[in-house]
Amino acid sequence: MEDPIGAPSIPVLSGDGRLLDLLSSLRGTGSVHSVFTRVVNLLTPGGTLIALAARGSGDAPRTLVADVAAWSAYQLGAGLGVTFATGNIALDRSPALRRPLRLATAGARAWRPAAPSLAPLPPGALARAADAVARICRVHGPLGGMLGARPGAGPMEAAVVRALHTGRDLLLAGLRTGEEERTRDGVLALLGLGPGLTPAGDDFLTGLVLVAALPGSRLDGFPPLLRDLLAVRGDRTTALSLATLSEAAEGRVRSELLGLVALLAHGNPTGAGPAATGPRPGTAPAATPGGGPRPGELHASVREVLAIGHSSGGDLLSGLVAGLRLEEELRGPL
Amino acid sequence: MSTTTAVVRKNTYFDSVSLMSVSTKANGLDGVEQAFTAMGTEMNKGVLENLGLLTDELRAAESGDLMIVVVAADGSDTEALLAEVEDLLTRKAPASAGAAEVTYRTVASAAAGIEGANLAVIAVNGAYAAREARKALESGLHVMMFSDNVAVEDEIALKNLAHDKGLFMMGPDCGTAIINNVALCFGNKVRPGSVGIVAASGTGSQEVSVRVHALGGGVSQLIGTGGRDLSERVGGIMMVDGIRALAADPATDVIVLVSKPPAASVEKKVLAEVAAAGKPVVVWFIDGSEEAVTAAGGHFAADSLQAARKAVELAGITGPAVEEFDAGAAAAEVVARLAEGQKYVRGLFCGGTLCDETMYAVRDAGLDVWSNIQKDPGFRLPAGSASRGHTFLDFGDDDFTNGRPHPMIDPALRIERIVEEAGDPEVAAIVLDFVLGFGSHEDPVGTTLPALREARRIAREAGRHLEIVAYVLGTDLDTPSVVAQSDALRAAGVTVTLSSTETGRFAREIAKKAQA
Repeated sequence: MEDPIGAPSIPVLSGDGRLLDLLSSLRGTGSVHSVFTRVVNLLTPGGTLIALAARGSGDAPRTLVADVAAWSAYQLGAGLGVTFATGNIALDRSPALRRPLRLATAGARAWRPAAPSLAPLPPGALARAADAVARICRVHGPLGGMLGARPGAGPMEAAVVRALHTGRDLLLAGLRTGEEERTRDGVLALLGLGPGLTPAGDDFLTGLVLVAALPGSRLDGFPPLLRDLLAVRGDRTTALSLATLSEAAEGRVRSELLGLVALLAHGNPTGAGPAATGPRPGTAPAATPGGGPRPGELHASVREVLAIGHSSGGDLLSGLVAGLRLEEELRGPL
Repeated sequence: MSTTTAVVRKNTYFDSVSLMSVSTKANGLDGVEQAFTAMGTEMNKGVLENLGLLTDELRAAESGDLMIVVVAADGSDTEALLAEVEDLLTRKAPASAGAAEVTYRTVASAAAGIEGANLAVIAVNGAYAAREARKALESGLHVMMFSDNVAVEDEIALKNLAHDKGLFMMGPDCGTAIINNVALCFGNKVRPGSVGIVAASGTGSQEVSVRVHALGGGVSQLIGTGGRDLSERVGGIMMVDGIRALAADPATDVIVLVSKPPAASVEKKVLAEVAAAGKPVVVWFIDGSEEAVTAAGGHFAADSLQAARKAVELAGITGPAVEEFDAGAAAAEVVARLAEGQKYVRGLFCGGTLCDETMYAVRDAGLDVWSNIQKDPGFRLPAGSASRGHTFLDFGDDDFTNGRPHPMIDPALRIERIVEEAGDPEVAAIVLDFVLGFGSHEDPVGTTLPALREARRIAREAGRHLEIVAYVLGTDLDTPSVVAQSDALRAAGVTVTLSSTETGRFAREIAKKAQA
């Protein structure tokens, strides 16, 4: 069969710095875990799940962004072999294609995200930020997860949404009162709940644990608790979701979400790529007194997160908003 | 009594957008009370258990397995329904080695294997499309290239090669053609006839073809050129070849040209062909001027409806009488029902040219319009932005389709936006298009109706009347037919317009009167 690939190898444009470090000394054979139009997931020889994203995707933990428009043309398939060697990854393809697809990691820009701290923000700022994000989510957020059932949803979707809200309330009550048992029950009630590949309950946990993992958080007991639970109960969710949650517990999430947190912390996005959407045409954003994010920037940044997956963006932000409100509450008025 | 049936697919992964799309389509199947697709996690199985739907097979599912649960209505054939749901999943399945049956692996082997084949449709990734097209042309095949993101240099080289070989090079980014009565990619089932169309606009050419059909005429050939053909650099190579082919075609009596206004030098070249065609040529250059067309002996059309009417008339066909729509009077009735502050029209379109036509109709009334496809950067609205004033969005534009299927195939994004717009107290009317035909969603109206009902409920509970206007582009021969889809909309209280042009006029009158 004829090979549709012209180039001998495809350059990796950027990648998670930690992953690039790991790959520099990684040798052996892994496999293709799953193939989507814009993302291919691989298992390394050690069984770690990593992602190959197409050009234009944002940076993310355990992710390499390669110079391809989409993966659909490359005849990759789940279960096929992947060879990890110095400076490149070779992916086997359909048996009819003799040549593997090679990805060159040398020259990739290393993405090393730094989690900002929300601790220096004045009293009330976290609650105001949470309200502003929640407002945008209410108007633009996709339904089907934490934000509620879609119009005309059947009993199954309605039941999932009810279970999500029950789990959320249990978890937040546990965190608020510091009761570990209740917190654990809340996590387990959400872990793996929802129809997607990263279930809505996990997306909520990701947003929430990110806030808890930021330097100076009052919720700093939550990330280790979640990590412990994932270590023993990780089989309750998908492999992709487990990887995402494990990274989030260290303050490492996709650049779009981290960019939003940086915007809330500094008034300007840092450590993230440029926002895909700007303020409305003809409206120059006014600076906010006190140095908070400008309304146009916040709107654009939230919309970028909302664009993730089907309802994932809305669920991530629901977790983030819950975390910000809890953080404000636990700080008290001073 | 309803029955529950389920299947589990081991280690199967779908992205959430695909999964949601499959779930929405499955819930729309006849005989399905509810359908649910989810990964086999403990919590998801717990939800199913609480609902009394957890079968032994589902109980055994693991976190990496996909569960498909179908609750079928009393008397339905559950096995057949499950097969339909599985079919939906198969169509959405990502590429995997050995999973897909490919009869021919190269253009050359397909050409050799199918006796009489003379046209190749290229729909591979843009990075490889030019190479495949070159091979097809060199094998003596005409090419329709659906792929986009092809370098303009490649387009010019391919079109020159095709021209030299006496072949068609339709595209890149050519979504519609009807060749020898066969619709390719997005096309409608229209009557064969004597009107030939050469078009640089996909939905624009679909609109002209269905209007010609509705007026009693028929289509001999619909030749797509790709959107860049009439640019300065490409120089209208395919449109010129298309005009010449139709001029020489004994089955074609009238030629219709459809495009956005060409570059000046290209317009001159195209109009020279119009003058030399030896047949009547109707020219609809969207938002274009009349003078040059008339000077070249062409028949100028200001809109798509006029283009179709002139073509049918010049072909000597007397079709059914069409009652003129009094957009002003209809709009006055709508505006009388609006609450204080409702003054804007929001157009949510699948078809770029349909969006253009309505947007320009409103703009030509002297009103400001914002859009993701506005030429004026001051009024351009990025895809992720909230609407502003009179807003017209083309959901088929690259901004919205990046990583997602075209809204004519998967209307999910637009459905969400309908509900969102209904919550805006300044919105007087939502204007929609539904595009039927080959390649399109099998029931675009049916899948949108719940959102339309929800939109009206939101407005009603806020004490407002929300006018929903919809145009269904299709014919009585399409499946589903334009009649069935329009009836379903009317039954839901939607005002159905009968052409893209009429949609623009109605939107313009509502916008003018509501803002007055």
